[in-house]
Amino acid sequence: MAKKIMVVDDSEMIRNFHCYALKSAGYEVISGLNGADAVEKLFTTRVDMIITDINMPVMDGYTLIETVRKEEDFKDIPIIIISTEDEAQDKQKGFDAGANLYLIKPVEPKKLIENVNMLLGD
Amino acid sequence: MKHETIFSFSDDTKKALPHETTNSDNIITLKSKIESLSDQVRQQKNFINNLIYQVEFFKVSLPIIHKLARSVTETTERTNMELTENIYKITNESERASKEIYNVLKDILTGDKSLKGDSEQLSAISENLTKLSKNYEKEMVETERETDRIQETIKNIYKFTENITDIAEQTSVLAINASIEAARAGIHGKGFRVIAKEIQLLASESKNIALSISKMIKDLKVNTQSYFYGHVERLKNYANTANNLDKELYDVSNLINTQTGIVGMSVQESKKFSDAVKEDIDKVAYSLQYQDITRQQIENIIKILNGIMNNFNKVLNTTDYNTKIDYTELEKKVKDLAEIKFTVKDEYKSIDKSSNESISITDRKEQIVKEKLKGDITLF
Repeated sequence: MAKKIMVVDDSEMIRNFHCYALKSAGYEVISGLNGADAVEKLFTTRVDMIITDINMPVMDGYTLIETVRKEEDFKDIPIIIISTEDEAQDKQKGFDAGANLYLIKPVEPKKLIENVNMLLGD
Repeated sequence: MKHETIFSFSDDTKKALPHETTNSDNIITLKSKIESLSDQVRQQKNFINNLIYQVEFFKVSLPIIHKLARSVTETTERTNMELTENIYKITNESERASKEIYNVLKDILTGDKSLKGDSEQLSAISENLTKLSKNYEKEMVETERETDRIQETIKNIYKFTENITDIAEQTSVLAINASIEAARAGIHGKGFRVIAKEIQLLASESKNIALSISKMIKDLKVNTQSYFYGHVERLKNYANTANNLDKELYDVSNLINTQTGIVGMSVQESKKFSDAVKEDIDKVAYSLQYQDITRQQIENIIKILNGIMNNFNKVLNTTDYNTKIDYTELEKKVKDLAEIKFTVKDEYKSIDKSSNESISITDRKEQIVKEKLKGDITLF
């Protein structure tokens, strides 16, 4: 059975890009419009990984990661941040929140898949 | 009369005034200083009023800038989405076509119904035909040998019948001689004459039988020869046909092998093409992500502008100033200025106007020049 990945980004275009790249690599994909939408969906759908943006309305990426890490059922899900923020402090903030990997936009689909495979042990 | 002290000089002013001056002189000097100070205050007030006006102008402009920025991000995102959807459609179609081509070519190359399978089947048939042809040749040799053996036997039988004919003839001569001798013996040879006659009859029958056998053998020889020669000819034909078929099959098999090779190369080419399309799409996907970065940058610019505006507001809120601003007029001015600069349909939406409502930029520039020049001027 294909592993399921949740893509969280407020930009529909970016969500589509990531979803397309992941589907092409054989993963099942669901998407979240922002952190809050993602958390809501996590309670009804089991996922193997979360890929999230940082700057989003309603709930940002940092809060999403902190929320996920606090929940017993989700705390071990690997999380990748894909953000436009390129400062060292942003990366540090991402790791402090509990992300496993921090990628800077734009991300080559090939590079994204390589990192996803690595984190999922595929 | 006691004069009330209206004002008093400060110590510094006292020092600055000449010691030998009269009160009248002092008053004149002071008046002049006051007038100068009033001028400065007026100038400062004008400056501050102007500054406040500009800040208010900026404040009124800010929502338009917001709307413009939102319009830029929304438009680029929408167009990029449309572009992306089209790219995905093309990609999916290309991927689907590529997969179908790949599967068709793969079916041709592998599996029971493949060209390769056909070629292998043809090779097997060809091998069988070769075996069959060789069997025919063996059969032919065997038949020829068998024909020779039968011919030899017939020859021997023929010789035997010749001997039988000879013996019959000799027996007949003997019977004739015996009849002659019986006649000579007269009445005593009567019995012997009967026997001689019977022997002659027997000899004659033997000869007839031998001749019949001989004729039968001749016929058998002719028929056998005809049958076996015919059989050998047929076998030769079969062998030739098998050989020719074998050669044709060999050629077809070679042709199929060549075609299979070409198909194999096509499969590789098809896969390469599919990979190249995917790589190009990945590049497009990579480049279009800059739209999101641009959106982020615009949002950051707006945040900075909002920050500046908040700072202005804080200053303005803590300052008691009497600048009277006609916001209706100010808004009109901001919109007019924006209208001069705007050229794109979407821009007019930020000032709640459609491009049809607005006069063309050429007309507007002409109007501005006319306003500046004033008078009865015709512009060319």
